[in-house]
Amino acid sequence: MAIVSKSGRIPAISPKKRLWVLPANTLGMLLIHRDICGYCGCCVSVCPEGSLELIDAYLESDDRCTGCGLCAKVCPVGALEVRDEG
Amino acid sequence: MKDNYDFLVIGGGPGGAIAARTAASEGYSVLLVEKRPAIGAPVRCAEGIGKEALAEFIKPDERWISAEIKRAELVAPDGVSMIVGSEMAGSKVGYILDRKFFDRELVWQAAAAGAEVMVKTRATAPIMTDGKVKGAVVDFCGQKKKVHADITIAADGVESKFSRWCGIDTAVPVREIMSSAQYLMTDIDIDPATTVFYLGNKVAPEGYLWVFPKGERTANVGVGISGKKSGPGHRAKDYLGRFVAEKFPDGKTIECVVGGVSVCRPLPETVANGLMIVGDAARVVDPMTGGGIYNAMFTGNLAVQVGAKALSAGDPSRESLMAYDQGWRASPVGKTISRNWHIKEKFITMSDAKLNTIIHSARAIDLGDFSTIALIKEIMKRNPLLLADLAGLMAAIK
Repeated sequence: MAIVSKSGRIPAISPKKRLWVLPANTLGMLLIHRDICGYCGCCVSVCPEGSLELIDAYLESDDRCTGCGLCAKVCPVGALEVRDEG
Repeated sequence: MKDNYDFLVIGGGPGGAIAARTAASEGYSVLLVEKRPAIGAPVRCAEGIGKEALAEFIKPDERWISAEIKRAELVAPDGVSMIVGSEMAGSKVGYILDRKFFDRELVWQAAAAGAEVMVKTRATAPIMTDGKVKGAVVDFCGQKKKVHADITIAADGVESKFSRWCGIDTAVPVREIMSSAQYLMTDIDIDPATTVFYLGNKVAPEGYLWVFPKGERTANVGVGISGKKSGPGHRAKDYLGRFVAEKFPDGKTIECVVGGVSVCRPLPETVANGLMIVGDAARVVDPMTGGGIYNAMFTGNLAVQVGAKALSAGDPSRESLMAYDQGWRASPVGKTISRNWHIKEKFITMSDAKLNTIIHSARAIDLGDFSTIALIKEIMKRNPLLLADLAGLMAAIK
C-alpha cells in the first residue's frame, strides 16, 4: 500500500503527521478514519504504547504503534481499523 | 503569558479550573492551558452531579443547571423498574448540568481570581530537569514556548498524555474503559425530574444506559459498555442506536457525544517531583457510576492546597507532594472509589437473571438515601440468598 523503508518504518515527513503508521514489529497498520472519529480520546486512554494522541479535533498516531488493535476495539464509533500489510 | 509560574495547570475542565481558581485565590501565580479553542466544548459527559457535592465548590446557578433531579429509576433487564429517592427524602438529590456553561463559569471564576488562561494552547512536552517536572512546552497556534512552573498539575482528562510523558503509565485496562456514546435528544417523553438507568447485557454489557433529563422533553440519552465487550457491530453507538430506535423513534437528536470513561482503580501514585495528577487523568472516576465531575474538582482543589504548602516550604518534591496522594485516598472520595470498584467488579459478573432478582426485590423500597452504598445495603438485606455471592463484597463495603 505504501513505500516502506528498510527498517519497516514509513519514511514520513514527521512522525506526528501520519494518517497511518507501520512500525517495525508490525501486527498490522492502523488507519484512522477521521470522518468517523468523534475525537473523544477513549482510544488514547487504552493505548499501551502511548502512541495515540488527541491533538484537538483530530487524532494522531506515531511510530510507537504496534498495531495491537485495542484502540480499534474500544472505539465507540468504529473510527479505527487495523489492516494487514499488503 | 510569563515564563515562570508557581502553578501550571494543563486542562480546562472542572479539575483544572478548580485547581487554577484555588491557586489564584490563595495568591499564587497560575497559568491554565486548554488545548481546545473553547472551554466546555465539545461536551463529553452525561452531566450528572449530586447537589451537595456541587455546592462544596460553587453556588448553584440556573444558567448552567439544565435540570433538578428528584429520583432515579433503575430498570432491570426484564423491564421491571424500581425508584430510588423521592420527595419524601426532603431535598432534591442532584442536577444535570449544562457543561458548556458550567465549565466556562468555573474558568471565569479562576480568571476573576487572578489566574491566567490560554485556550487553543496545548502542552506538548514536560520540561524535565534532574528527574523533576519543571513546567511544560506549550504550543499556541504553531508557536512553541517554554513555561516554567514549580508545580505542574496534569488535569488533562481521560486522554491524558502529560503524566505519561513524565514516565507514569496511565493506560486504562481495556475491560475498564467504558466506551460510550450519547445523544442529546429532544421532543421525547420523559420525566424531567427522574434519571433513568437501564441495566442488562442486551442493553449495556458491563455498563448501563442512561436517560438524564435536560429539561422538559429533552435528555442526554447515552450508553457505556465495557471496552472488552466492544467491537464491530456491537459498539456503544450500536447499542444506543437500537435503544433510541425502539424507545424514542420520533425524538430528534441535536447533539452527538462520544467518550471514554475509566472505571479502573486510580493511578497507583498521583504525584511525582513537581507534578500532581488530578481528575480523570488520575483515574479517579467513580467506578460504579462513572461520575467524575466532583472527584475532579475535589482532587484539583486538594492538589493545590497541598502544593501551596510544599511551595511555602520551598520543596515541591514527590515526598512533599505525597500528602495530596494520601489525602484524597483517605478522603470520602478515595474511600468511595475503592469501595465502589469492588462493588462494580461484582456487578459486572451478574447475569441478567440475577439483576432481575435484585431489582424485583428492591422495587418497593422508598429509599430516601440516594447513595450507591445505601442502595446496595438495602438490596442485600432483601436478598439473603445473594449473601453467599456477595460475601466478599460485604467485607469490602463495611
